[in-house]
Amino acid sequence: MFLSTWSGRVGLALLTILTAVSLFTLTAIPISEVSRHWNDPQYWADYPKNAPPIWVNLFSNRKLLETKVLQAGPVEITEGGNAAELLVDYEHDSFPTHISLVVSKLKYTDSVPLIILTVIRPDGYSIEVAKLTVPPPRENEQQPYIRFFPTPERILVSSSDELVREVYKLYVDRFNTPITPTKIKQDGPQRYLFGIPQNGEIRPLKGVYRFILAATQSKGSLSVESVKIILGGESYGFMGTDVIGRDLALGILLGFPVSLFIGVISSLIVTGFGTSLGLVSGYLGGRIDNLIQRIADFINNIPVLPLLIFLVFTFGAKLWIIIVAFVVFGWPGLTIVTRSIVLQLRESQFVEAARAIGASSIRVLAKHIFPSIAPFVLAQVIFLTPSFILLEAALSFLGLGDPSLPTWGQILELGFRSAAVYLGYWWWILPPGILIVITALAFVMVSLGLEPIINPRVRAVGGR
Amino acid sequence: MVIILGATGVSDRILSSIVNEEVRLYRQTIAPQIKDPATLEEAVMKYREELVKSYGLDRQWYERLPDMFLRVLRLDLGRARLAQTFTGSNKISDIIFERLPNTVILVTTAIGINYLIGIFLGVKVAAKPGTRLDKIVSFLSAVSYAVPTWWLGIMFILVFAFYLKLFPYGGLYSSPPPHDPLLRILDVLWHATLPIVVLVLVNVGLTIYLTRTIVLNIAQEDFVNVARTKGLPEGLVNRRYIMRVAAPPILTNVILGLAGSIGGAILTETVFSWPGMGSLFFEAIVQSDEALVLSLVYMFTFVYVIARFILEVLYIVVDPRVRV
Repeated sequence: MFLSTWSGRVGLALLTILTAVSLFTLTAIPISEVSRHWNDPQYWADYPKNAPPIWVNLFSNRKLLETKVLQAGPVEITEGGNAAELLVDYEHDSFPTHISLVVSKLKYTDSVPLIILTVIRPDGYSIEVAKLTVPPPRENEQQPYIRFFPTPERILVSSSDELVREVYKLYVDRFNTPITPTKIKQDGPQRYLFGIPQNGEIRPLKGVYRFILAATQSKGSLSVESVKIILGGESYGFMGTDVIGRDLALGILLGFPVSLFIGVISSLIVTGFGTSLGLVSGYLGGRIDNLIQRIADFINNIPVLPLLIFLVFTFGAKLWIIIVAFVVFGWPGLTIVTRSIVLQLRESQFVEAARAIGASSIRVLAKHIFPSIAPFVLAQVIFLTPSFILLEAALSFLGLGDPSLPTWGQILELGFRSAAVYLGYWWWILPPGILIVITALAFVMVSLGLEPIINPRVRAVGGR
Repeated sequence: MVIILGATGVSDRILSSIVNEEVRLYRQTIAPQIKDPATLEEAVMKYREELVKSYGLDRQWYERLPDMFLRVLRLDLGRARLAQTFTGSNKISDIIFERLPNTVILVTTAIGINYLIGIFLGVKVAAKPGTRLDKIVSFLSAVSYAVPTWWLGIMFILVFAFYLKLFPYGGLYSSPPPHDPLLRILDVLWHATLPIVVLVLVNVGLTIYLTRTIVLNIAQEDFVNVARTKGLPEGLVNRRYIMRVAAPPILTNVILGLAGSIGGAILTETVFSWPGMGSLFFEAIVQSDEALVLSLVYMFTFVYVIARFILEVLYIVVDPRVRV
């Protein structure tokens, strides 16, 4: 039945893909973790902001830097001896957007150590880039003292004053470049850290950079569980990032099951409710019929979006409220159509026969009438689903969606609000919208494919 | 809807917060003048009572209703809290009248073009069901239905305004608007192009498809076949038998589509920063401007009722079975 038309085939294929991706998302991605942190900028602090996806590098000559994470540990640090070392072979044509140092679970004994991060450049110059202050022992605390646990300590190296100072010293003393600390701070000291003056401008210096985390004033033992240096890139991930730094690929993947869920559930409830009312109204007739029809007519004549906006605004933007609103606006359409079909069927012969034998109304409804309208009901569910997906997306876009759910409309809402459109961040704007279209399209195509069956008159005439 | 507002107490809450805010401001302004704390409190209490009376908070919400109806009929819609007209007035009726023509320009043009193209193409396609053309058009209609209005708007801004720099990002006029009236009109048209194109593209698919379906349904009725076998020329069969009969259902769809165009207007105006009633509605909601929201809902309903009325009159003219 679904496969008889090309439209039905295409639609069904799309639906299968969508369902597969949703299942994949539900199983492979830690959904609760991601949605909990979805709106938390802190969680995304290490990601580059407004970064295009990695694969743009395939299309352009200028290779955008990918975010690099250097990791080391656990490591014992001794004064004058052992230190944590992280190496990176820098071969890019552009500079990192930021540098962060993340230290977790530091253990020390005796006196408080002072931790220093130094960088040795390929040209041999050594620059002290950051100082890490370790909290001293508290009263009555036992050795060994554990710090930066469970939350690791994060230092944004690229905004530290030490770096600016040291870079300034390097450039003025060694390179004889006229530069001011203000300019360094403005451009971002990491540019200068990873650069070398050439022909009047600063170009990236390629080669091996060594980041060394060492300690001074450390009398006792000192160990660190993990040290990370993050070189913020200009590109990230499969789908890039948005203004908070969120990995759009995650957001988009999460949107798959959410959209399908909202669309299908709303559609099922509305169809169930509307069809039941239509059955009752059409079969029983009389005053109940009139009443239901009046209400349905009234609701049908109301412009949906303004009132939907209003309802969500008054009652709050929670998922179930949105679904209830959908149902309130959605049932009349179904009731009216179901009723007219039921009216016709009511006079048919098998119904007459059943009643003659004394079948109760319910039995007649269930066994005789309902099976005749079942294909229609199914088609309606399929046809209504995309409307709800689109409506939910529109609500989210206006900022009225449920904020705890990452949906495609929500991603686009932030995009519009932070002027991503006007700044040309296509990777942010295109994919969610295209996915909304494809999802809605899948359902519409299946509906289209079912149409010749439901409405035989419209079947292709002669198949020219 | 007023009932919902009232019954849920949202109305009361919004109004009391407005009253509280005004009382606070009042207190701030007169505090420097009245030194004695007791007198100060008394003055503030009196002011509060006046406010409560004028907002009707001392009566129940349903007692405020008839009063409100009368005021709406007289178009005395009160003042908006935050919104203002271009000239700085915050009387709601001024604001609405300033923005109404903008919306009309956009929406009416778009609806007009939508139905002209939609019905024309729908009829053409209905003449050849099942062909490649039919399949292509059906597919494109499905796509057009699936595309969200606001997303297409954003995409167009991205492509035509950002990349191609052919059209403006939004708004009604360039700033500063040109002085010459002809240039001014052209400026508005230039700004209106993208939103109108978006509105048409998104809605035309459904129009084409519905028209095609209706015409096809009728074209296969028996009486059409009879007319053909009688030997009547195809053109006559088309006009008198098919189109005349198809007109009422098509018109019904037009009527139903009217409600949707209000929603479409809201989204498109917001995306393109077009100062019309739609974006005003959205702003009012976001700013919790109760008076403005209510007035706008009345206006929407009012405009909608008028439009429907016109269409129903057309319906009577077109459908011979319906005679008053």
